[in-house]
Amino acid sequence: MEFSTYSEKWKLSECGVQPYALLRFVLEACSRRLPPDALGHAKAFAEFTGGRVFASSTLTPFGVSLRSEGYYEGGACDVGITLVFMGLTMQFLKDVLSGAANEEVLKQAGCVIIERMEV
Amino acid sequence: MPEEQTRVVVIYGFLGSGKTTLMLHLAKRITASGKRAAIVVNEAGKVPVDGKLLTAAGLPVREIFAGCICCSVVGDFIETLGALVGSREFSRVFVEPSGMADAPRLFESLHRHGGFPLWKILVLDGVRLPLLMKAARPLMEGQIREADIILLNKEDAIDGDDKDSLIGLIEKSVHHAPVYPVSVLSGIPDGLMNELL
Repeated sequence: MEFSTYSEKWKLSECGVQPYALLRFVLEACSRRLPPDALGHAKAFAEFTGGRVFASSTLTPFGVSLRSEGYYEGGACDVGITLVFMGLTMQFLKDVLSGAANEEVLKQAGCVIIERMEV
Repeated sequence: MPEEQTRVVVIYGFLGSGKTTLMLHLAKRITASGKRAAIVVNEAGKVPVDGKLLTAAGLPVREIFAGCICCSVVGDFIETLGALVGSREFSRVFVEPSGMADAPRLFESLHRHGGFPLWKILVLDGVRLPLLMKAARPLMEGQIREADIILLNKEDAIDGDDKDSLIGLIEKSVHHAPVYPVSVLSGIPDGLMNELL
């Protein structure tokens, strides 16, 4: 059984929505880009002054478990996301996350990205 | 310093089955009873989400990256676990392998290198179990064969008749462990919690 992982870290100078909503939007957008029978999961966190959020989801079917501490009142926010799936390539997972981030979420959520890196 | 021997509790299962959530419940229960617990977590990805989450819950965490503890980083894992158990500071050491781990291989390594007193809790995702048994049968059967106790998780999302057929599906994989339908996210009943620990 072959598994692939793909992870990114983002540094945002501003997040236009509450970070829990950002994570939910990103994971939901990833879910729409995966085959419906894909087997794996996604995990993500966001850290900001005064709090942090953790998210996890199997993505197929979509549903997200969120744990949140504190309230985001603006400013910098660090995000980490990892996708791990069986039978899909790392490039496919990269395309899923890039597509979700670029095309759907980051601009619509009013995020200002300082740095985005593959890890 | 605990009088009882440190017990190594391995919480394993496929990606997204609910391992981390269960571990949080169990570790909090142990610490609430005045005992100490440590956690060894093997992250599947390169972003330390589980480690951050468990650390944020106030638990001592050792993270192992860059490989799976059932194969490529087994040496680091055994060394880390040995140090925690040998310190005699902890009543329980919880281990969460990545959801990709090959369970028979992992437990064979633990038996061969450590001889630790193990308690093996398998968490199965009840919603995706039929799909997993088709797409990853050898992996799943290996997990089921190794378990001391099996939690059929996400029972709140499974119909009653389907629950019975899922338990039948598990029993076909030749196991000796009791199977408990649960919703880890909603909480573990006290009686079962005591059995798990």
